[in-house]
Amino acid sequence: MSELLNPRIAGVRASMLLYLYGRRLRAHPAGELLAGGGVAIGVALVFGVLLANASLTSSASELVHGLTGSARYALVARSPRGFGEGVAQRAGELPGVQVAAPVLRENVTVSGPRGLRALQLIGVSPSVEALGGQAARQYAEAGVLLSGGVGLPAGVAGVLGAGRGGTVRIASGGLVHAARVKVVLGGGVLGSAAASPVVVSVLSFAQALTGLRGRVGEVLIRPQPGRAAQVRAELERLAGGRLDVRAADYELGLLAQALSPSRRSTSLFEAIGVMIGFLLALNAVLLTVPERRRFIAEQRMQGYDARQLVLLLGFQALALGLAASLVGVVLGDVLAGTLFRRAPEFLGAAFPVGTSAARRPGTALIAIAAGVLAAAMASALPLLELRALPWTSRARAAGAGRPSPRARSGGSRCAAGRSSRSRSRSCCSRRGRRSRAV
Amino acid sequence: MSALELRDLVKHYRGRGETVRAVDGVSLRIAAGELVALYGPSGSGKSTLLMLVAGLLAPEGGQVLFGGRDVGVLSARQSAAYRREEVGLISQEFHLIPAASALDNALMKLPARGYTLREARARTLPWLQRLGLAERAGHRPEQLSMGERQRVVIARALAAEPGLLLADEPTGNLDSVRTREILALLRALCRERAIPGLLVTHDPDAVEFADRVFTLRDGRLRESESESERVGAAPIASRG
Repeated sequence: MSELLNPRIAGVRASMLLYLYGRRLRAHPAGELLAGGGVAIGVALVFGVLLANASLTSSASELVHGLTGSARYALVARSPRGFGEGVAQRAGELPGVQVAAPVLRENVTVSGPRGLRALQLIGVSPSVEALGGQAARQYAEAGVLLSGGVGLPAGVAGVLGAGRGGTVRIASGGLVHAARVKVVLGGGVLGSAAASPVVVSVLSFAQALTGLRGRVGEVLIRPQPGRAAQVRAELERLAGGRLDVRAADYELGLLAQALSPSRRSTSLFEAIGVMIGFLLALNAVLLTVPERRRFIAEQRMQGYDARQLVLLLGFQALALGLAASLVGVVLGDVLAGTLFRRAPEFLGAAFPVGTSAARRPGTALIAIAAGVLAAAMASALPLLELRALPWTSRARAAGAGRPSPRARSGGSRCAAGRSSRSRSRSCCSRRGRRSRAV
Repeated sequence: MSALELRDLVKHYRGRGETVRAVDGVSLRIAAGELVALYGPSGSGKSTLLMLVAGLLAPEGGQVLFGGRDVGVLSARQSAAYRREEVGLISQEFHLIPAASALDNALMKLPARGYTLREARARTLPWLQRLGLAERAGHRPEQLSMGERQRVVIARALAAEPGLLLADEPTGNLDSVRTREILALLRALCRERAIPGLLVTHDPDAVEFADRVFTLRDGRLRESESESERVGAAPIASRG
């Protein structure tokens, strides 16, 4: 039973690994704290940037995919004035089209009791429900409730101070309208898009608010199975060069393009974060190298073999890296929510990018793995000396035609010099002197 | 119990056109229960000889025979296992962990042999008691005198119940009273446990406690006949 709970790893009990690391922590708290702090700072920088970056795109992605659902194409207006609903109706009647859902999206300014925000007004028709997008379904189901009013994501409603039943003022194209908040959509519906800068209404109300009666900005199209190419061709014909036919989530492609300069700087910042963290950890660990070297030498004298020493130091690096990385992830989360929180203004005007954090296990795991790796690499320096293990009488072994395992571990330089006795001797005497330093 | 036998042992260090004959054809047999003292001036090869016996260095010629095997041709892992299972190594440098108690420092060899903390403490505590450190078991090294620290190192070497005792200047940091105590203890342990012991020292007091005394000069070994010869070979201030 104790073997199960407290197994031997390379001959050392798991509990003793913990015990020995505890002793090390007590003996060198400052060194460990410095090393852990370095790793934590590096991880915090990397995780903060990754999280902020992922949050920027994921809210837009969730919102767009939530709206477009299974739509494959979008017939998009080239002008802010949109195009007539009649075109949308004709698109729905094209051969091979299963669903056509007209949508109007317009930038508006919404003010509430607590403040005002620039938002994207999304007007949807009931047919959007057939596309199956989660948000679209919610919008459509709320359509009856939305009649004569608007729906706000919870994050936006909080900023405006306008709860359900409250009134907001919507300014668009020189017109200002009062609208009642009929629905507040929470994270359960919209995910990280719950903080997206959008306001939702039924299509006809959106048209009234923006002064675009009878007009839509785009039509989302879902072709019948196997008829996508045909539908595309029909849409191109209908567009006639006056409208664009695009992928339904074309907006995300535009967002990715708009983000590319930001992404380059983000990647650079990530790299700098990794380097800073590693250098901090390395510097801190370097301070402990003489002590670790003594520890290794002493343990070797006491009979710890290379596996056991790698295990001891590896476990210590793992424990330090893991603990520091977890702290770094928490710090990074705070950074992402404060210092890195704001989305670039130019993106906010063009895309429905939100500010809520999109926490994903994968992002945290990447940051933690980087932290553990940095700690392990920094701690590995004294282990390199394990290669200078005592050299056995390789010359004798070679003479007998059986190089010993220790000779092999002694290094390839010696092995390479086997053909030349003088080279072999010189090489091995160097190795012998190194091991004497033990 | 096994005897330790060195047969025509050779270890040279080669530098730029220079060869140092650290150990040059040394042959010696130490019977079980016997404590042998090894004198020699600084650089005479005493520590090299000890490391050859401990398997920390490999000889270029000759054999180190213990327990029916040649220590000089063991693999790195076998060599570590030999030190772990067979050798009790006492060094002049204490290398104690500052934050650990005397008891925890003394058991530090046992994790490598798969002992749990409880088992390791149970094996180590009697040795601390035997060495007069029972009351000091919970004290950290900084709270111990030099002599007590040296006894912790001895307890660490003995807790694993070695078959061979090797001591490199074990009394270098001690006053004369403590030196005699430690030397007497080493002799008693070798006899009581019937294990061979090799003591590298500069200390003239060792003559009284060792069963045989040898002098190493320029890598060559010879049995010392007189105290003046030994003291002359090993000035107190020097280190091997």
